[in-house]
Amino acid sequence: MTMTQAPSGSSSGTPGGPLLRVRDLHTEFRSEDGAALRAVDGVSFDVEPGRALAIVGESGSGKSVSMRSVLRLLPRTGRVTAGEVWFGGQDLLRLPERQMRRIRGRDIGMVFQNAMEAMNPTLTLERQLTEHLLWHGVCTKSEARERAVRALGDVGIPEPERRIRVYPFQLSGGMRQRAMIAMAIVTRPALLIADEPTTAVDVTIQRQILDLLAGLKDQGTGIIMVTHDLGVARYFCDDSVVMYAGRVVERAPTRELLSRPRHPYAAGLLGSSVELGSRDRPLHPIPGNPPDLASRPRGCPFHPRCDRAVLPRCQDEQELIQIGGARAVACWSGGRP
Amino acid sequence: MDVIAAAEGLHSTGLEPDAGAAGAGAAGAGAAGAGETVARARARGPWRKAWDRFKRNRLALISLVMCGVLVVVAFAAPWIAPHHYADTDYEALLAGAGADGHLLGTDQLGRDILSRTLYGLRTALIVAFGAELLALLCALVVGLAAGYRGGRAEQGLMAFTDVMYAFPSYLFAIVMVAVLGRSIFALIVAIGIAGWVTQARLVRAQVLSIKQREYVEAARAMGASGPTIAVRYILPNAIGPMLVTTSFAIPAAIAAEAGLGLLGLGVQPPTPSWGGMISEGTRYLLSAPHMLLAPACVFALALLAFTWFGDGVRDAFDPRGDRR
Repeated sequence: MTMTQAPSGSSSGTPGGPLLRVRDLHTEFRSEDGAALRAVDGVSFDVEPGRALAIVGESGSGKSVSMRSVLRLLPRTGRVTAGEVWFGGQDLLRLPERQMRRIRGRDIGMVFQNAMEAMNPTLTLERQLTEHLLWHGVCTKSEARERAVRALGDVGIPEPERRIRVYPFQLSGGMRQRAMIAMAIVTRPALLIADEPTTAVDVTIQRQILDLLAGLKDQGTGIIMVTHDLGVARYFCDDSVVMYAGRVVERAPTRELLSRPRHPYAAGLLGSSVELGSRDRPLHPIPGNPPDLASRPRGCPFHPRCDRAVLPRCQDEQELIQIGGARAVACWSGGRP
Repeated sequence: MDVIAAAEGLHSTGLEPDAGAAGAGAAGAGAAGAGETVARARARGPWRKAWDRFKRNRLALISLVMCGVLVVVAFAAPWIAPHHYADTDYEALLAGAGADGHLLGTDQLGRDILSRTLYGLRTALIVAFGAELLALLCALVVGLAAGYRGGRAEQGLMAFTDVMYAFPSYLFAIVMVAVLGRSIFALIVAIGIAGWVTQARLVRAQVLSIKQREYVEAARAMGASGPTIAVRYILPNAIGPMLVTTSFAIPAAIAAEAGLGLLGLGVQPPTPSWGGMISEGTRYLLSAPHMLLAPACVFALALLAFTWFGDGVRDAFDPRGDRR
């Protein structure tokens, strides 16, 4: 696969610093009865150019909401209540909507989980791939078409010249997912957010898509991969952030996280993974369910399910503690096994 | 190759991923076969597929021909009608069908019934199409705005449509004609305004469901502005059902125009309308039944043709249409 995409770089990224710096992000949803649900509760992470960050967690752990908060694409009921999102030398949370719109799609691309649903059924691929180039004034119409064809070729769609004229429903699942990625990369964004891009496709296509994303990473694109699949994280993410109940519970280079998870939740996640758990021992599912956001446990949100919990220590707030190198864990014990 | 034809169109794309996948999978299988499939597929946008389904429906085709003839006749009325609608022939008052020079006879003023019926068709169609076009435009604007913007704007607009909805539409049309006077324009406004409310609610419901779709969020993530999303992403996906309701509303509007004419609120005489003609005809029902029968028959025929046409349009846009 030849990759001709290169991130624009000029419009974003502070020299030397991380591409995206998220600090203490808080997002709330207002429920029907007016109560505030804290979906994201003080999340911080960095994304470096040319590196991939996995955000791992169960459904409802706040990973997708964090991403939508970064792009300011929350539904009407959601609101970012605090935090900073630094990208290209500006805090995205404080940008006027008009400027934010210029960043979405141009500097930050997003790949959605379900490509079938994420493409407009009434537009041909050509329209879907070129429209945002034109909105953003990236290039002229004929150039846009050329770039779209090239992007389709880059993501491994055969005969891009012909395929560009079809409608999304005329493509197979894997092709659609790749076309979706082509949509996201056609503007050559500096940062790509992929929200479970491989969940809805089968294993062989998963592999192709991950290889494709890895190629982009090598070209210098920063990638955030939202996933609940540790195998995906292992395959190509340099760093990982484990989220639980809207908080980061562990941050580590992926390799270290997978070989020696420090937070009991991360360990539990690993132990309940079919692919990555040790073959010799049975799976160990984590007992209980993720907490209801409306009645979050005091202190560490994981302690009611934690087999190493020590009361009352776990009922105190647990800050992320630096535990050497790039690792941090939000457990008073420092996650000693 | 039929798999592609069976792949879903406008509204069911999410329901049937396998059919599309199988089609494209087959296309990807062999290089030679692929080109052919893609070339064939290219023409099959959602509209094209609706038309394909419409073509296969015999009744729909017949109704299309009937409607086509009616429209042509309506527009050609000044040339094909044997007399002007207001010409009076005092030699032949209330002449029966087949009278000299008057194929369908004359009315109490000696005006040619055939000519008046043809001109009546013209009035009916202009009013019906005009009114429904107006209703569709109002409905799209209000429904899109309400559904897409949400919040206060939506509450306000929907409260307004509720009030309109609660008002009997005939009564409303009568009031409008009383205010605006008896002209074709007044009828278009009266019937159109009375009819857009139901459509607007339907548009809003469509918009609300489409707004939740992931491709709308994806468009926002690509940097689309609100109006772009409403017009490029929501409207094209909402328009199919709107065309269906509009095609069903056309016969209703024809009937409404006739109804107002019957009540004496149609176009200003001597401009003929079927309602007015039928109303006059009832007074001579026993002595000159042709006065009532001619317009009533063409009226019935027009209703039938446009209703069938509406049926055809509905089936064409029905995503399950191919599976019968």
